[in-house]
Amino acid sequence: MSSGHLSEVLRSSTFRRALAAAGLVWLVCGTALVAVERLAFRAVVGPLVERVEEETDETLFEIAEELMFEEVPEHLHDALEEAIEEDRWEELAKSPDRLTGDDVAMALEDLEVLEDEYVCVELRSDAGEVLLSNLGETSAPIRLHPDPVFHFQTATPARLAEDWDEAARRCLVREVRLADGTLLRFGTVFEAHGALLRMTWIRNAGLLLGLGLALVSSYLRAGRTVRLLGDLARTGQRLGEGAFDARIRRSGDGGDFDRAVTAINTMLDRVEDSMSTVSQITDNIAHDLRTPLTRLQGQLDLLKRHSQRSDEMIEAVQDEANQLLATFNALMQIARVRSGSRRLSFRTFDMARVVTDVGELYAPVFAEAGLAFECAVPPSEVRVIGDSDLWMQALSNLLDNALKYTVEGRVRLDLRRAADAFVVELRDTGPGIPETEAENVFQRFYRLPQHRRQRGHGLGLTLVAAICDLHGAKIELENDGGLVVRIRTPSL
Amino acid sequence: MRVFLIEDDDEVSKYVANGLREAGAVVDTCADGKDALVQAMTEDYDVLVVDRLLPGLDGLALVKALRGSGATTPVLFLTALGDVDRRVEGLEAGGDDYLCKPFAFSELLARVQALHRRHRNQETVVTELKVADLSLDLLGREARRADLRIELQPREFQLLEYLMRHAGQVVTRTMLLEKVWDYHFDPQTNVIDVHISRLRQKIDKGFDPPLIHTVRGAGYVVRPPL
Repeated sequence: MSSGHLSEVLRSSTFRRALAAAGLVWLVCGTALVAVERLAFRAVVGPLVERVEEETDETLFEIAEELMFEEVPEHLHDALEEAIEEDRWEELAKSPDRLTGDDVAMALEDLEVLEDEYVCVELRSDAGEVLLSNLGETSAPIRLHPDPVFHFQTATPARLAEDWDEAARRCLVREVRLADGTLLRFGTVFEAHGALLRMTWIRNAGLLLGLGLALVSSYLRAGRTVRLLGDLARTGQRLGEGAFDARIRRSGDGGDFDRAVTAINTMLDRVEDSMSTVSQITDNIAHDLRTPLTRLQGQLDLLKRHSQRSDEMIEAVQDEANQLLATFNALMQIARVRSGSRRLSFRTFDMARVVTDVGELYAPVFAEAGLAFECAVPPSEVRVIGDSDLWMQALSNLLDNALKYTVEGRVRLDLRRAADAFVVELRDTGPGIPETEAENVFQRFYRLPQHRRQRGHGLGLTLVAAICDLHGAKIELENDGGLVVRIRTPSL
Repeated sequence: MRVFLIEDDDEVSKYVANGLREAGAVVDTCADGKDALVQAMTEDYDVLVVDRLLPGLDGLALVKALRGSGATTPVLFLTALGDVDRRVEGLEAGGDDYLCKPFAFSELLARVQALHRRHRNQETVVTELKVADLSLDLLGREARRADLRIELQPREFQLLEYLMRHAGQVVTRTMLLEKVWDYHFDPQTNVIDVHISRLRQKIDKGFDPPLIHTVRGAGYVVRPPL
């Protein structure tokens, strides 16, 4: 991963979104984790604090009682009595007529509190000097409870007890600041301290780990997307420049991205196909138009070189030009029909009328050619949605062909109903079209080998096929005593 | 006949103007749509020949504006856009006829003359058409020559009617296909020729003089021989 990629991913919207999502999950889970940990903590610490509070209150009471038996300064005597009676030791400790650290130290020594293994006691002067302690080396206190003030401390005991497995004692101590600034800490050994601290540690680790995972997973996910989008952009650009063989790299893992890329690549295969087909067709068209254009050139050249210009020569040139024009127009027409834009001008019309009209138009021509011509339509309307002009042209092309290729016999044009479709059928007694050529004859410019020398441009059937396609009609060719062309199309 | 030719292609403009002048028309030309509109509204013309694609103001808009101002001068559109939809567009904008480029000059001339004739005659309602001793009763749908009744199929009648309405003017094959058969494409075979031939069999054969003439490279005309 280059640094460029790194910064690109970090700046991407995918990364930001992924991070936001992961961050949200982290936030929710983290909050739950913290909440659980805090609740557990309080559940454990709460009762303990109460117990310690009780115990220390008892000890304080004992201290006060002890002091009662000593030489207590006069000013304190009444206050002490009052405090003991009313159980207001702490208040007394903070009051102006008060106890000093020395007083308490003395009382503690007499009570032999320091010798108690389960009691943790420490007396520090205002300046921080340790006056009295059974804690030994202590760790920095971690405040547990705000009011009354409770702390955790780890301490190395001044005296090792035989029962202790560990060298360190964990104490839950209560803090009381006396009036002269002396700090009295006393409390009890707390065994579950370790477990609680571990819980807190797990919580913190979990939160950090979660955050880290969120960042890394977002990065990885974004990285993948950024790479894919980069590929897409690059492929698109290459396609835009005309390199139709450009494809997007696949990861091959079958996931959604992979499927999408496969689909796009398949589409690009088709585009490449189309482009090559189009260039093929253009090549064909160019090739097939060169011949008449060359002929035209030849005729014009002849005209130039001939001293006597006859009208016939000029007319020959004009004919050739007109032929060329007819071919162009036919090509244009095919393109227009293929594009589908003619669908917009579809209307309802009577197919029977169209068939009759075309039949009428061609009847005399067949008669002239010595062919029997019949045209039959149903007596009632045959309503169809489509373009009547195009159908006239399609039928006209088919009749042109029938005329051209039928030397003798008959031609019959039929329109009949069939279920929910109508069928137009044209039968002639000509040579027909071999089955092997059935597909080919609808191609542009295609002429059957035996008919190559016939006049015409070879686009008639192509247009008929295009018109059928446009209307959703099917066209079939059959050989039955001649050619049978059958067009089946849905009617209303 | 006064013709106003509005065409921005120099070559086409010269070629058409010359042809029309040779046919006896007085021709004005213009290559810009806006200028042409002004000229068309101020001057008096019998026929307008308008290219659809023009600089300044396109042909369609020009004709719409003209019709909007109340002018009824017949308009023939010229265009390279050969689509059916375009043709309908042109006619809806107020055009009377539509010719695709490239065209044979004879086609253009025939259509211009037809438009001129139609416009001139539109006031009168004709019930009978007559050329020499051939008469066509439009109400009774009957054809008579030298007082003999001639049996005509409905389509044959329509064909003759069209020719006679434009008596003395050349009518092209394309015009006949469009107006008589409502057929807007070029058939590969010479269908019209065959129909005309049949009509001749009925109208001219056995009568004197022949009235239906072929004009080479153009079409047909109904008139007494010159």
